[in-house]
Amino acid sequence: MQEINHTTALIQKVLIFAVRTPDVADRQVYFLFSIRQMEDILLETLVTPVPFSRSYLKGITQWQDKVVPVISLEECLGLESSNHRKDTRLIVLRIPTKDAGQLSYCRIMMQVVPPFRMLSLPIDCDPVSDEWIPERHLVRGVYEWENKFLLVVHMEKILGGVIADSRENKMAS
Amino acid sequence: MMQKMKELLLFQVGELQVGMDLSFVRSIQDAPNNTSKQIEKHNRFAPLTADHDISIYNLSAILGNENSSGNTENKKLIVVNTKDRPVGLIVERVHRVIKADIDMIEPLSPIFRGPALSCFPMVLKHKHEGRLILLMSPQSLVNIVRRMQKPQDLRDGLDSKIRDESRSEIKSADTVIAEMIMNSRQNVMEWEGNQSII
Repeated sequence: MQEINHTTALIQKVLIFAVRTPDVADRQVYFLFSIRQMEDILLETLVTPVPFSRSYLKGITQWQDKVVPVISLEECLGLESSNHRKDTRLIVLRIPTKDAGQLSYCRIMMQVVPPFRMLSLPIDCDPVSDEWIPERHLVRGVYEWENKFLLVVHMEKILGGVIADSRENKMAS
Repeated sequence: MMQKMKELLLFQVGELQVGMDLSFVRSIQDAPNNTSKQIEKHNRFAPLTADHDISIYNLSAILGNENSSGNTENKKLIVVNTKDRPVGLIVERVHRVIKADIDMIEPLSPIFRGPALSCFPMVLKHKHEGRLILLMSPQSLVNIVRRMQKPQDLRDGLDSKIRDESRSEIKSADTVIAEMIMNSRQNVMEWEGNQSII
């Protein structure tokens, strides 16, 4: 019984942290991730750059026994960068994938700026337009909450390389 | 119980340490001199032996190392087998040959796609100065570079030629991975004097 309560509590928690981009309509923008997606927060790691990769892909690093790509989510979404703070952290996100019908997890590491804030669901928020996001197809939704925008990203699409297809199609057309 | 080991040649390209399946390697020698202007254009044809001309690629320039110059003094030339014929790769230094358990080798994440994924389909979880080691497919690298017309295209990485290339390269990456992981040494090596160089 205790375990069930614990799981329920995890499902209902989300973490938000600031997006390193200028305010939109006088509102600061935050990424929102479920606690279940978060695996670790690191102070620093050494990143090996991968030649020929797109600029939002910063390279690879080792986390535990896994090789993990390091990305800039802001660049990936085509957002203007605004924050050059040095006190950044790295978070490890896990993304569910299906491998031969079996559920498994891939990991992505991304650079973020503290502080992190944990919220309990439900949040009293309203869905708003995502027109200001260049790569909006990679976003599940944008919500207005306490004079902030909360941005929920489609990590499965990013991991699957959908961003590349989209940009190529745009250029082709 | 038999251990599944791969022999890998580790070498330095700019700031990056790169590895390559030893079965691709034919020989290692000093890089040819007085080729700076031609090598800045990434490749040239040079008479390496009496009866063979081979293409030579300056990996530092290709992989976007800003500090790279056309000066090949003190650099090494690794001659590798590709599908058509051998090619030469100029690198900063040749470090050593290691035997790595294949459990230490992982595919590069599919998030990279395109030329990055086809040129570096695998990663060795053997750290050098804290960084992982990318394992290169010389065939994929040569395929991409041959289609480049301008050096700038290489740095941009998003040029349409590269994108076209990346589409076709994604398929061939599977083949490369299979070669690197599954195959035993198929190529006949001409490994002369490598011990003294390494």
